[in-house]
Amino acid sequence: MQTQVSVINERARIALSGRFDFNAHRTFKSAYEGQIKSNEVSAIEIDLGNVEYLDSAALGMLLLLRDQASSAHKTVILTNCRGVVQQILDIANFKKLFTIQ
Amino acid sequence: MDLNPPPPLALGVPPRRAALARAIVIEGRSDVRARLCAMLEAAGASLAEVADVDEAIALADRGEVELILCGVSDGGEVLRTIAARRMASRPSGPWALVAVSPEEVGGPSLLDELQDLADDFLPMPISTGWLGARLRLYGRMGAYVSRMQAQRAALKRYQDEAEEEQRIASYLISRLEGRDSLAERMMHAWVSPAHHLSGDVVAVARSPDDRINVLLADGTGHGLAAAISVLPVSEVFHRMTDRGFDIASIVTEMNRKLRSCMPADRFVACTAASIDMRERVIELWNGGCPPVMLLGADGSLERVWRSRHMALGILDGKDFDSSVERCAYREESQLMVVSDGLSEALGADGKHRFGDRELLEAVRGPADQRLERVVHGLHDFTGGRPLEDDASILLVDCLLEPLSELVVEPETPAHAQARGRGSHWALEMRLGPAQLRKITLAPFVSGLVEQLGIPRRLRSNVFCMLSELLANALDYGVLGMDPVILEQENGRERFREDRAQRLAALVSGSLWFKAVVEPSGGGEFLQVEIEDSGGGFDIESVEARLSRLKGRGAVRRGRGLELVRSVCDTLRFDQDGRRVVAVIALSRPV
Repeated sequence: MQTQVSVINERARIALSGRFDFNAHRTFKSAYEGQIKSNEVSAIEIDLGNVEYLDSAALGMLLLLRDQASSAHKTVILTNCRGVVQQILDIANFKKLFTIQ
Repeated sequence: MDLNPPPPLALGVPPRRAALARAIVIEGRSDVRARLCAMLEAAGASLAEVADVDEAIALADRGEVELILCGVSDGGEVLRTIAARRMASRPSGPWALVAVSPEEVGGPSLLDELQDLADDFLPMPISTGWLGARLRLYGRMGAYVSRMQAQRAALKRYQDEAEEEQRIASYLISRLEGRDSLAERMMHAWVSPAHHLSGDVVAVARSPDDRINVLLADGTGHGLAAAISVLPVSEVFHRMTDRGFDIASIVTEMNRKLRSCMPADRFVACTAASIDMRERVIELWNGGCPPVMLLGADGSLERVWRSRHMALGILDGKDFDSSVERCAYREESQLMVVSDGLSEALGADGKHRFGDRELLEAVRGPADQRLERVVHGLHDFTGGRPLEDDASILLVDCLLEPLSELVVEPETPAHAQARGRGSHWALEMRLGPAQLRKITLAPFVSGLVEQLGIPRRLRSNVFCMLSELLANALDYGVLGMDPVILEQENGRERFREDRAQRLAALVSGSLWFKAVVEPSGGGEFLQVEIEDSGGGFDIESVEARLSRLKGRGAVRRGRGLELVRSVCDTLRFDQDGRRVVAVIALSRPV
């Protein structure tokens, strides 16, 4: 999985591409850690538009991100969820915990 | 586990200046030996003195020397011995056996033979500079080999430990899963672990009132970590089913337990359901599992339960939603629950997944061999490729009568004995507001039925009678609830909320209960009397309302009075409905 990070108006956008699964653990963590610490960021957007697949480990990583973000008083937004990614998030009922756009 | 792997190897990048190998020289002829030693020392080698071949090998095996230089002036005799000893004691230490001779000895045939025994040859004469370079090379090779051996040993130890852990875990998991052969007759299951251990668990268990409870739990990831995380789920499922709790209470407890013991990124997707074959009603809770399906006799899709909840172990108690979805069935059906390892199995084309369409295609047709058809269908779809995740399929029969009425269960000797001579008893208790606020009827009654040695074949009848009559006395008597609410829209939820509020606020009222087992006319009878402090009710109008409901073909109302009447030999209300007497024959006069 590849990540690309950009920050505009206090919103850090982390665009993911490829397979978001157990092997992406380090890559994903290192992409968001800096944003959680940053004082210039109030919201973290995870752009899933180019993610082909995500597994339950990826859902776990999103939960972990949400936990850490909320202790740093930041919100997490999931964007561009399509196809199989959308299905998996639906089954997991992540709309109850995350803002999904 | 203590695993400190040695530093990584860098085979391609040798150290700039490796240490010279430490060596032992073995040569029978003392003049040749002296010359060899002089040459080696001139090249800078450090030499170890040994008394014999045994000591040489012992020293080398301990890693104190990297090199045994063996002269062949004896025609290769000693070298053969050392080589043979090394062969016999594999794995040997990281040392090299080098044949050395200051002059040409033997013929080409000796050289041929020695090639198979020694690691290298050091032809002499050789310049001191070249000899030093060779010794340095041996030193480096020795270091590589010993590092590799250490790594191999660490890996082996790691593998052994992992296998041992898995063995113990498999054993524990199999022991912790309760077994109820009668309930398992209704279950057709296939579990395919991606690793040795499965993070998917499927189970069925029977509640004291003969409901069949169904579980499929899928822990995050796979292997040991996933298998461990589903253990508490399975344990709570069996324990609470045994004690008669409903699905909402069971999933609430599972969530509480996982939330308290799991890291934030670990959770368990779960479907828990209860099939009540008396009422022909299914209650189901789906948190994070693919759609659960109810299949008709011909495999047609009758109903779908989509995941309406988050998986277990994510939400705090206050946010957790335990509400179940109910559905009645009319004909013999099958409930099908699968894990996402199945619905996300990748096809042979590398693009499509084994979705609802493929699944429904495979289940079409009679219930017989349905599971096999799905497994074959999956195999054809994936082209036999191994699945990436744990996958499971659980099919449970939904029959039209409770199983215990279809099958006669053998009574265990312990229970038969418990009811032998002198087993007549009486039990009386009065529950005040403090006890009533705390009591949960299902486990209370199931405990009573278990402890009092009620024969197994009658346990579900006695459980139904006791729990229904006690619940009636508490709800409609002590708490003064109005049963009419149940017939209204969302009546069940409103009834439950109202009841909980009244119970929490209860400061007066009581419930008296007496059970007696007595012989009578050669048989044995259980008589239960229950009296409550409520205002009573008009039994005739209740029964009239019940038959009106039934006449309208509304819900199949097995529960309540009609059910109790069907399991009792006699049922009598008096004192304007505040007191009820029910009798069940434990054994009949011969």
